[in-house]
Amino acid sequence: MRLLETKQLTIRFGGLTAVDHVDLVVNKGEIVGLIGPNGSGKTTIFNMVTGIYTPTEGEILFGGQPIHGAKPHVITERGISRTFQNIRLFQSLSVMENVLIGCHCRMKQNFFDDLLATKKFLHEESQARRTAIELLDVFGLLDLQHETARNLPYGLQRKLEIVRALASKPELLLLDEPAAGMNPQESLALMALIRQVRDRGVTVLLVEHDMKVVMGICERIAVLNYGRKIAEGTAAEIQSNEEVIQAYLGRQAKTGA
Amino acid sequence: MQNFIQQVMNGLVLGSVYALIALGLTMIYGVLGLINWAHGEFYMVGAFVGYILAVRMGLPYFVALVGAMLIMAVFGIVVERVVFLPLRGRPNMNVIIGTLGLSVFLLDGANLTMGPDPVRFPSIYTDQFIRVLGISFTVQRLLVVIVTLVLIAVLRLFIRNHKLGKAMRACSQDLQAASLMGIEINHVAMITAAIAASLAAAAGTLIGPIFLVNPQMSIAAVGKAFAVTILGGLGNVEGAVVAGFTLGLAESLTVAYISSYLKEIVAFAILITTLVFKPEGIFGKHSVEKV
Amino acid sequence: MKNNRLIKILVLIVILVAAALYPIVVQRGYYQHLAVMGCIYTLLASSLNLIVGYTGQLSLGHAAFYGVGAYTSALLTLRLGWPVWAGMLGAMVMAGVFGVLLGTPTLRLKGSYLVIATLGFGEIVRLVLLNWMSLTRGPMGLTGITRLAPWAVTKAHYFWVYFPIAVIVVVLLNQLVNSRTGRALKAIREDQVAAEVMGINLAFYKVLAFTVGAVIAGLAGSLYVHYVTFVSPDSFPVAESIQILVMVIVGGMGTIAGPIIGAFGIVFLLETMRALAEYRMVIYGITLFVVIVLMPDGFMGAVRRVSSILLQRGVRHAPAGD
Ligand SMILES: Nc1ncnc2c1ncn2[C@@H]1O[C@H](COP(=O)(O)OP(=O)(O)O)[C@@H](O)[C@H]1O
Ligand SMILES: [Mg+2]
Repeated sequence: MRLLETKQLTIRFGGLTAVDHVDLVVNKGEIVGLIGPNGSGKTTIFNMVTGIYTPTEGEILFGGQPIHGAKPHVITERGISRTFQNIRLFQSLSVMENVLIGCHCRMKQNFFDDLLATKKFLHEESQARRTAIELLDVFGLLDLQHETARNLPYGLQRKLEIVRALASKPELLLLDEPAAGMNPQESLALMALIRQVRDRGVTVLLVEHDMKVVMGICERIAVLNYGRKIAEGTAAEIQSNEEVIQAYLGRQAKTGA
Repeated sequence: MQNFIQQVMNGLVLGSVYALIALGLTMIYGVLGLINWAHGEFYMVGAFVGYILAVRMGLPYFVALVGAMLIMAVFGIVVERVVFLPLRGRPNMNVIIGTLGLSVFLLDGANLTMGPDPVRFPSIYTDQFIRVLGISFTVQRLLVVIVTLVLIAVLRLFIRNHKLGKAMRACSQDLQAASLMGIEINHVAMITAAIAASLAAAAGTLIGPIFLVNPQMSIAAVGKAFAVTILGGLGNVEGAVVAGFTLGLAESLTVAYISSYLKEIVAFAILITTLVFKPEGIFGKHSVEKV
Repeated sequence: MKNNRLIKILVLIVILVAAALYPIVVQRGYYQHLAVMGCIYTLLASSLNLIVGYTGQLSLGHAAFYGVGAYTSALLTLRLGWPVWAGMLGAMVMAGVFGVLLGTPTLRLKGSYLVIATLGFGEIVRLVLLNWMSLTRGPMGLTGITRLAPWAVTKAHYFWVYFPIAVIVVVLLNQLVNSRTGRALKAIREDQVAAEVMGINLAFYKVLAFTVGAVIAGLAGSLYVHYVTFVSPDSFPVAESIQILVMVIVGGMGTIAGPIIGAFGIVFLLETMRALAEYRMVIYGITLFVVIVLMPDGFMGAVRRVSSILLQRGVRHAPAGD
């Protein structure tokens, strides 16, 4: 079953076509990889799917329904959540508060319940706390629940972002370079966690530069270059694709790295 | 028709003052990245300095004008070192409170030393009249507009061609990059504050003989200066000039053809409308914030 | 943990009792007047703190809500003969409407742009009050406004009514900022994009913050007007908005205690500085600058820093909102 589908998705910034007629399908229960050199438009696709950018052309369907042009909070409520390439935690709030904010769209009390501390407020609050504690426990962050987010080491901040995203009970989770800045062991542990997330019924779309991670857990991989999709297939297919090799090598030659 | 020309002249006089004040405000924002909430007081202090030089010390008007600009340039440098520097890079809140502290200090300092009552600031040019196109106005009014245009032209040449002017432009585009390129940020900051303060002094000394001079004049000025700066686009020097004259004309025509009650509201109406519909200013381009 | 809470409650009770006894111990009318104004400014600063300190939306238009509340209550009681309590409700509703009016068009604005827009909004409101002669009598103001109640004769009476009102509002605000709504506001302060992506309706919560803030400021306006029984546009200049913002920031924004300390602190500080006679405001200006340079997160930030040094001999970053 198709969970997410983009059709001819395109966005332009001034003269630059950052994403160029991209068709992409993510099926329910999959872990799909999205790779490509820097600046090829991966993050921009995430930004369009989550409603931060409005596409210039094309469609985005989620569960068969169009979501392009909808506000980010509406899309989150529909069941898409994400992490950010450059960590965007609520830095001066506690770990617990960060996760509770993730629960926001699943809590049912209104403003007056909050103001007057009604029964409903107490019920929803304890429910959310339970969810948060369970998630923090799975990710090994429970002991740090009272710590301020900005005091966490980098690797744990990335994990906390995943926990916060999961707190909104998404059907589809978009991860933007979750292994960036992690050492090999941490990356390995992260792979296990991502699989675990999938096994709880969350579909995953993963942007990642660490090829070990991508090749290790993705069932399918799509490759972008200069905003266009140039290949799609299994890890093995991608690794032997001429155009993909060219795209990565070409860029490297150009930047002189 | 005559009335219309008269009102246009009034508008140009007001617009000159607004442009001069707003230029300094927008330059300080562009280069130092902070909003100077005491900028109305720069204008007021400048007017009093001009008044002291011309009236109390009896210097010729033009000497007083240049003197006020020079003295205020030094004042600007001192303020940059003592007030702006400690606030540089601080959160918006701290900058607001810090420069408001300066504003309270200058306003009440002026109340204390010069008294709260308005003083007359006569110049020989307020008694000489010119007749053009069937209307007559004082030489002082013509002077306001001409001196303003000259100052704007000089400023433009300086920013375009002088080494320091170019450095100022570089800083207003990207402070960090400018400092990496070896630009001495501290010098640029001091020069900017000096220019901003002396333009405000010019505004005060030019308009002083037409209106009265008192400490409270800073309060009305700051609201107008904000309206102009926003309309022109924060940090946009050309924008400030165009917007200054636009507001001046809008105000005087409102007085003439709608109601004098609305004069004060015009500035704020323009301010809010611009912010709501085109916050990047009339000349700014809209861009998608990068995430 | 348990002990800590007990101590907090005890301290609170001591403060409340001491406050209730204040007008009895301090008989001088002038100091009682300051205490009444402290309560009114507590409402103003705490409500602005919700907008500025918790939601991160810089505003210099708060005096407009205060003024709208004051005039609404004055006119409803004076012209339509409404009872004072109904005037208060009317003031809150009308100020709330103005909160929506300010909050909605300025949704897209940030930082300095928002500050300047709110400043302009405040000035427009003041200029309308000044020029709508038939309604407000312009600069002459409205006189002979109904007192709070027939029995409210002394300043102490006012204090005994206004103080509990301030306490109730602060308790409600405390509850609010520690709930789902409060977390949504804090998330917006920290990172608007991330907040939106976490499912928070930015437009709704920003306007909500302005509206709740305005409603409380409107209440403060009503309390003020039935206390001094006179109102004119002169009471609500930009300087008043600035004063309220100073209280929030110097006290410590984004905390519950900060604006209260700021409100009472500055009301009494300005009074103490009366000894400086005409040098008062000049020195106040310097004080503001020095305080903000030395204590960027206000009094509460400084307290937190000192106490963490004492507790663990190491400074942690105090959360700062902007
Ligand atoms: N808001 C924006 N305005 C202008 N250009 C943008 C914006 N967002 C992204 N881009 C450009 O789009 C291209 C793709 O960027 P991005 O999606 O971040 O690449 P990556 O694949 O590394 O995640 C880049 O050239 C980037 O500069
Ligand atoms: Mg990216």
